[in-house]
Amino acid sequence: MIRPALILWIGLPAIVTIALLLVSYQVQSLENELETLERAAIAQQEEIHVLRAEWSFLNRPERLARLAGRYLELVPVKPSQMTSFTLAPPFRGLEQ
Amino acid sequence: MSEISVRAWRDAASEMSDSNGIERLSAREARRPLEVARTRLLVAGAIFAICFVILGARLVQLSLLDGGHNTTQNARYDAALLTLQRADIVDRNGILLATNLPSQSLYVDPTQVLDANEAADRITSVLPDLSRGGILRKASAKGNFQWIQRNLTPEQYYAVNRLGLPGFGFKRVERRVYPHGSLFVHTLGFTGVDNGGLAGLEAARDTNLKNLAQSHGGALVTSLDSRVQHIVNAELAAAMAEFDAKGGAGIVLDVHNGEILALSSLPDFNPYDLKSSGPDQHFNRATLGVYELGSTFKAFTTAMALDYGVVNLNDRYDATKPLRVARFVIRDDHPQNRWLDVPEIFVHSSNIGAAQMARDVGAERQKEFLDRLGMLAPLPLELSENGRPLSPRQWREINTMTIGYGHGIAVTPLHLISGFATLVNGGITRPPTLLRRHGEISGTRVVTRETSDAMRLLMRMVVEDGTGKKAEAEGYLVGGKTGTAEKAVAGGYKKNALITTFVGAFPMDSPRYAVLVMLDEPHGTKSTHGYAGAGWNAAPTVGRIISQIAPMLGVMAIRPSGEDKEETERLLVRADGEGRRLASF
Repeated sequence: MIRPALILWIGLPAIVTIALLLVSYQVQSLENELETLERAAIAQQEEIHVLRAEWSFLNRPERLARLAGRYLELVPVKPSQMTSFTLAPPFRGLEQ
Repeated sequence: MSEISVRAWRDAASEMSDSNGIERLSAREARRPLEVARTRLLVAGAIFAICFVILGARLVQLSLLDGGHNTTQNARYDAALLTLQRADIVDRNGILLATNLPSQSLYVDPTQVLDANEAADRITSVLPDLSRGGILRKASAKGNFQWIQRNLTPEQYYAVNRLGLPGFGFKRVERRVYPHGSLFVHTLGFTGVDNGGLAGLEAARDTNLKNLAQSHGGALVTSLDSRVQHIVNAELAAAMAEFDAKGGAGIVLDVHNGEILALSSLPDFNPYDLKSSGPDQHFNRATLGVYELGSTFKAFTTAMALDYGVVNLNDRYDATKPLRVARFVIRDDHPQNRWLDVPEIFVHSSNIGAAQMARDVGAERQKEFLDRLGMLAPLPLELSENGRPLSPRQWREINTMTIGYGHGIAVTPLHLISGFATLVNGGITRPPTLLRRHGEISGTRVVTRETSDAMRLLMRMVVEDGTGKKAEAEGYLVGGKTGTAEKAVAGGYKKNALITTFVGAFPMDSPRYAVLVMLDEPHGTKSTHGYAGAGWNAAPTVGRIISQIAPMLGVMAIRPSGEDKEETERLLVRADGEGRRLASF
């Protein structure tokens, strides 16, 4: 009558302890992983930040104007090239 | 536990019963240890039970009731964000104008250096810009920290690191970077080596930028537009080169909410290299410099006279001969030698007419009007470089008359364009700003809607038929006013040293943006037949700027066909009942 209770009272703490140990190891490894990921995330953010600055640097209007002048045949829009729907002649149907 | 004590008690009892004399007293005496043990057991059990109940409750609280859960999560989330010392500054379209970039700075700890001579040799072999003596001195200095070089490039960092010199180390620092170089230098300003703002928005919004960076609150959004800024800067620089001017200012302003889209002051300077530029480059002509801006002030005089009902558009003034007031003589630059009506005074820029108009309004009312327009006090702009206008302490009649045509009062170009924006936007003044505004901005009314309409008409006439013809940008109905003033020097005016200004707005049927160009000491060229007036240099610069920025800003052009004339006439008639007659000269 005493035996099963004793086994239960010794076995239960043992199981709980082992489970706790396992969980804590798991938490530790997850925490390490999290830290690694966080560090990687910060590094990525920093990289993005630098790339944004570079993007802005490469898109300076002055540089774009210079490159467009050299490689493209674009000129500022003339008023005659612009129109609006309100100025367009009214739609008279497909037959015409 | 209880078994053991019971057994102990039995043992004790049997021991006691062995000796005869004491046998009688046993029953009571023998039960005492048992009772003590039992009480202790109860107390201990109760304590343990309480402890377990507390633990259990805490367990339930932590796991089921979410206690303290969120705070740790948030802390983690924050830690995973890049934190810089200063927030970015962006333009109205989100283009990056200023940011902090991480970089490495090289330092030396002299106590760790083995051989200062060898170290100096090897450092100079990879960083040739540094002097060998300087490194040697720092490497053998007292103390344990000396900067060698701040902000190394990644290549330099790699090269120095590869030397593997003991005592030399790197510190991660942040460096303020302006991707657009000197394009925005007069508005953004610059920072010092410790990333504190020293000029411009960087200084005026220093704490704001630091707090934004700490709270991950994003970037400081300015009202500037980098495309417009580039065009204004480029055209201003071209005009300065063409007319051999020593300086210039250019501003583009949204007339409806006071947002500054471009603000340029030339010459400018490199924000990374302050030593190679002097005070002339550092001086912000657009917001800090105050100038007597000449005839452009006639717009204020005319608006004031119309608004107070002193004149109407048909009233005429005698401009047949120079006007004598006290010991001064007021002359016209483009003398017509006849009676001129109000629009003619404005279009031909008659000093004589404007002076008489101002005199009829009177000193009191003129001062009050200019004050309401904001011409007598510094503007509430977000810059530390904010000029205070100069106006006469004693406002006599002669002051009233000269101020009527823009002499005897000095304001910044930003004051002027802000005043013009008020005249054309329906008469409501709103303080100019460098920061993006959201929603409707309330302003104070300075002139009536009717006066504003009349001013739009008059300004359009200046460009159609008057001194500002060269400011025309086909299809965009530019209107404005020229101003050519001699520069004030101690004790008088300097002949041939001019400040020329054109300030205008477009499109004049429903103005959206005001544009100002000011040139400091321009000279005549062959193509201007030697003239150096505003109509020959500032006005065409404004025209070129408008024809480029208008399509970008989504201003619809009026087609250059028969419709054009009609459109203009409709505008002129709408602005004033007498339009047709006025448009005919």
